[in-house]
Amino acid sequence: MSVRNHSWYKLDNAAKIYPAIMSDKRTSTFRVSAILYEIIDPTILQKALSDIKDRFPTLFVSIRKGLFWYFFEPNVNEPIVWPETTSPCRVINPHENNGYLFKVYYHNKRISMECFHSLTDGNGVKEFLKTLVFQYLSLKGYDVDCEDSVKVPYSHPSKQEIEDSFIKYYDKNNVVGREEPLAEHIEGIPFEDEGINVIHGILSASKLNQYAKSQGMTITVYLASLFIYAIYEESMKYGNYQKPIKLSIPVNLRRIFPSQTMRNFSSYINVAVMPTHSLSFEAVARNVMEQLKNGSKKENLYPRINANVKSEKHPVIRGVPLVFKNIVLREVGSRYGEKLITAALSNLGIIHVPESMKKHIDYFTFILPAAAPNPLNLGVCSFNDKLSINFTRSITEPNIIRNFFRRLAHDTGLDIRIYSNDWGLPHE
Amino acid sequence: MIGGYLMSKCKNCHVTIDDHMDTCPLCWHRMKDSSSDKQKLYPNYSYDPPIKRQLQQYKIFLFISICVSSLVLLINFLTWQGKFWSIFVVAGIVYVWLLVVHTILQRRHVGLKILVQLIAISAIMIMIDKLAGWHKWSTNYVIPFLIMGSAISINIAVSTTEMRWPDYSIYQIIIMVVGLIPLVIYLLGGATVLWPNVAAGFVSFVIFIALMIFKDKKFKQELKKRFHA
Repeated sequence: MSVRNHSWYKLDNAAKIYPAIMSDKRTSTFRVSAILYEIIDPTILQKALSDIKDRFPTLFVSIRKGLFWYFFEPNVNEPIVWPETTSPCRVINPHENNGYLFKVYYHNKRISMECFHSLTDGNGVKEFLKTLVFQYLSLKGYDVDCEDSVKVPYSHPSKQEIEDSFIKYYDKNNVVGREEPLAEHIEGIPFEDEGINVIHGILSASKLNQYAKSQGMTITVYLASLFIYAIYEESMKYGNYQKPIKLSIPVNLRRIFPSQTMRNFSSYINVAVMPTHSLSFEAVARNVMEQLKNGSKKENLYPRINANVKSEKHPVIRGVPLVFKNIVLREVGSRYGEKLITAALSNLGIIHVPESMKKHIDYFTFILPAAAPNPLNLGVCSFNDKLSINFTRSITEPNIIRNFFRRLAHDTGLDIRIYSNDWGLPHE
Repeated sequence: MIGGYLMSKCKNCHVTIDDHMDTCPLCWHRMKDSSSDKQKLYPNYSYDPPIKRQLQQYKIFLFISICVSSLVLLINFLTWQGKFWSIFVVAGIVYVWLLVVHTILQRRHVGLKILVQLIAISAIMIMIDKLAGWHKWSTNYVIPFLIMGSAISINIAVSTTEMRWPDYSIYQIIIMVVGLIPLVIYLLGGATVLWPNVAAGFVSFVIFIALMIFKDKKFKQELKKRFHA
């Protein structure tokens, strides 16, 4: 088998930072879930997971240490499916997980894939989950078909799926500096028990799109503006705030480059809004739209990606042993990551599956981890006209989320279905 | 009704709350007819804190170790008679730590444990030798034989688990390089008896030939994996 020829993988450019910054609190683990119409059978799910092992060689790996960098090695152990017992996006300990850096969970009607960000990005997990659900449904005996929108479990992965696209598209002559102002941070009281609270809001994607269009916006621009405005109204309207509210919005680079990689290939746009004393929602929306439009242009994204790859290829950095590199990378992660942003909004977009699978799946959710100094994040995805807005927070205060949903319900008049994992609520 | 769920509206937030929810998660308004855990989408969490007892015990031993070491050093300096004897007590304590924590308690590959023990014992031997008048018995005999012993044990450990994943031939490569150190020490004048040092070098040579012949591809790959920059 061609997959077996790959006896190891280097970590891609984005992957390299996460092992250094990962901790019990900042887990770098995110989750994509499919909610079906029936209760999940763990035995069949286990079988489905084992079946698709050879299809995703870059995910079924374990991480090992080299002198200068970590690397991934194919993992021959059996992957495990887990019942859900704790709040989502915990740190994944490979020692308890047969060496794997992802976990597949089942609870009630939900199948979840939690993934350490070094393995892949949201898009990669989405593709994996689609194939897993397909295999699950076909083992259940349903007549389902992959067509062109789901990777067939027993097919061979292509070279393009295994490639490191950051290296492939690297252009060392097109580099730009990455200096950016620092961001204000959301303050709050952390939960007594380490864990995150999730609040899901499900509504009609087409109706929301219609409303956003009528306001001259896209869904992402509208939700980002709502989010920024909620942060502004709830925590930064009064007081002397010198730094901007900055929302980090990941961009799937596969939309800009013709890449099919199953590994990391995303960048982000940091949208900044100054919290002045009188700020209207309309002004925020205009500002966000302008910045997103500019930021997502290839000529603006490309030099930033190149800058990241360039620093990885710097001869001095390359020669530093891993132990010291981790210290440097932790600082880089803090300097270029958490300190630069207030919160993150990641939109996974529309998830496509064939008609034959559609009737078995209710909707998908997409959850980001949350920890100080970025204690509140938002993941969005949509499937079959159901858009899920998934807030995660590590602080007790729900006021920003409340502000967000109240304005959303008021402005659009749409019916929003809300539920939560109720983490951190008073308990015995 | 969405997807067969009975739902009720939160009067404050104007959103629909799933019927398994007791309260509106946005404003904590109590929902009237919440049906208990029917179709619950999240489990009932247990909030038991993780067990961190072991760390506490470590701390107690660390505290005792530091106190004893400082006390011994202090006595040594206050009653100085030209001998730095307290270093043995400190080295002994450090060695016990290493033995208990790294070699016995931690989950590491046996190859790494042997290497760490080799370094620690060698350091202690050189120290004793230096303080006892530097007759070079440590570099002449003890260290070359320790290295040869380690090389043989590591090769047995790695070869007998060869079919298992993951691959640990990196330790064979490291001990091979370490085996050349006694010769270098001899050439630099740190040792005076040639044959044990040559013997250690020869063991390295044998490992090298074995790796080249039996593991030629794996050997190269392992080097690439572990040393890619």
